[in-house]
Amino acid sequence: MKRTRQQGDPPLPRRTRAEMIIRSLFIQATNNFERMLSLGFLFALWPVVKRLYRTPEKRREVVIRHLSFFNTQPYFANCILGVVAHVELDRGENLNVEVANIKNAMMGALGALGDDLFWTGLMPAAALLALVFYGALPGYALVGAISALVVYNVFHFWARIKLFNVGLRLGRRVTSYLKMLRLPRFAVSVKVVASFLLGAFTVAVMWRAIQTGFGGFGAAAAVGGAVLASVVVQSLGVKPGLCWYLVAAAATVVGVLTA
Amino acid sequence: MLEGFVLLACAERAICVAFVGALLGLDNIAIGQFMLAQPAVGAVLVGYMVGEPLLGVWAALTFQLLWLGQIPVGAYVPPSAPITAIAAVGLAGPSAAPLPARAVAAAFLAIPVGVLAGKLDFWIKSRNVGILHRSENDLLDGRPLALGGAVIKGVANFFLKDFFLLLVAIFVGSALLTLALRHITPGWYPGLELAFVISPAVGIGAALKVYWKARNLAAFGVGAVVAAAVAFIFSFLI
Repeated sequence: MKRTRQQGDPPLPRRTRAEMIIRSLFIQATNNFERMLSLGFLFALWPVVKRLYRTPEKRREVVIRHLSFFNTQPYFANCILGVVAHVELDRGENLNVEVANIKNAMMGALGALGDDLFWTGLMPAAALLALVFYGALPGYALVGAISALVVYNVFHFWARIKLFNVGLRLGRRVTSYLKMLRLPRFAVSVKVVASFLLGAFTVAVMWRAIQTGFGGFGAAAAVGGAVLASVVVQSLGVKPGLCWYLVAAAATVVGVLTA
Repeated sequence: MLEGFVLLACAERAICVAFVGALLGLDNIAIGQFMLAQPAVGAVLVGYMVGEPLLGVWAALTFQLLWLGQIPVGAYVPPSAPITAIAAVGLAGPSAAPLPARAVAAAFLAIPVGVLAGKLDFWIKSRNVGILHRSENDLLDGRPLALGGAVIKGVANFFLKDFFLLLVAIFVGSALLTLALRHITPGWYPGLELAFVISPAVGIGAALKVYWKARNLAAFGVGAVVAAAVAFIFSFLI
C-alpha cells in the first residue's frame, strides 16, 4: 500500500543518513565519460533503495531510473541526493519523470556554483593560507598544512552533511533554502579573501628572495618581474607549464651571469 | 654509470613515494576530495616522509597555483598538480647536489609526469565506461553487490594508475637526474638557486590571471601591503 510521509516524520534514521553520506564520498570513484557520476550516485542512494524496495523487479526499476546521465560538483551532489531520497520516500506518481526532472534541473546549476565556490574559491584560498605560512615560516610547514585542511574541510563537510539533510527534509523546496544562503555572493567574497592571501603570499616569496644571496632587493624585484612576465605570457596563450620552463631557464641564465 | 647503492636508494624512494603518493592521489578524484592530494598538503606530507620538508614546501609553493586556471573543457585535460608536486619531491633523489639544484632539475621532469597523469585520468574515465556497463547488467540481473564491486574497481584503477606512473617516473627519473647532476659544475648552482627562488612566481601569475577583477586586484594590493608591513616590523624585532 502506498504510504505518504507525514509532516514531522523523521525522513530516515540517523544510521541510514550517515551511511549515505559516507557512501557519497565515493561518488566520483566510477566517474566515466558516458554517464559521469550516475553509478556513484546510485551507490550513495542504495541504503534508501534497500529500505524501500524489496523485490528484484522494483529494484530493477530504480536502477534504470538512476543510471541515466548525472554530473555535478561532488559536494553539492549530496544536496541532490537528499532531494531524490525525499522524493523516493514519498513514492509519488511518475517517479521516473520526477526524479529525472529534479536531477536535470539541479545538476547544472549546482555544478557551476560548486565549481566556482570550491574549486576556484575555497580550495585556492585554503591552500594560499598554507602557502603564506610556508613562505613566512617554512620550518613549521605542518602547522600550515593542518590549518588549511581544517579551514577547507569545515566548509566541505558543511556542504556534504548540511545540504544532504536539508535536501532530505525539504525535497524540492530546497531551492528556496539555497537562494537564502546567497552562495554566489559568498563565492565572490571567498575570491576576494583568496586575492588578499595571494598578495600576502607574493610578499612572502619576495621576502624569502631578499634573504638569499642575490643582492637583496634585486632578488625581490626579480620575483615581481617574473610574476608580471607570467601574467603577460599566459595572457598570450602560453600554457603555465611551458611558462614555468621559460621563467626557470631565464632565471638560471641570469643567476649564472650575475653570480 | 650509477653505483648499486644509488640505484637502491632511487628504488627505495620510488616505492615509498609512489605508494604514499598514490594513496594521497585518491583524494584528487576517487575518494572524498578532502584536499589531502593538493600540493599545499600532499607535497608537504611526502616531503616530511622522505626527510626533506623544505623540498615538499618548495613543491607546494611552485605547483599549487600553477594550473589553477586550467579547466578541463572538450578534449583538453589539464595536468595533475598533485601528481606533479609529489613527483617533484620523489625525483629530487639521492644526488649530492644542493637542494635548489636538485629541486629545479626535478621540476623539469615532474611537469611532463603531471601532464601524463592528466592524460591517464582521461583514459581511466574512458575505461570506467566498461565498469558502468558491466555493473548495470549485473544490477539488472538482480546482483546488488555489483555496485560495491564497481566502486572498489574504480578506486583500484585510480590508485594503480598513480602508483605505477610515480614508481616508474621516480625510479628512472631520479637515477637519470643523479647522473645528470654529476655533470653540472658548481658554476651553475647560483643560476639554479635563483630559479628555485623565483619558481612560485609563475603560479602567482596564473592565479592573478584567474582573479583578474578590480575588487580582487584591490584585495591583492591590500594583502601585499599588510604582509610587507608585517615583514618590515618583524625585521626590526629580530
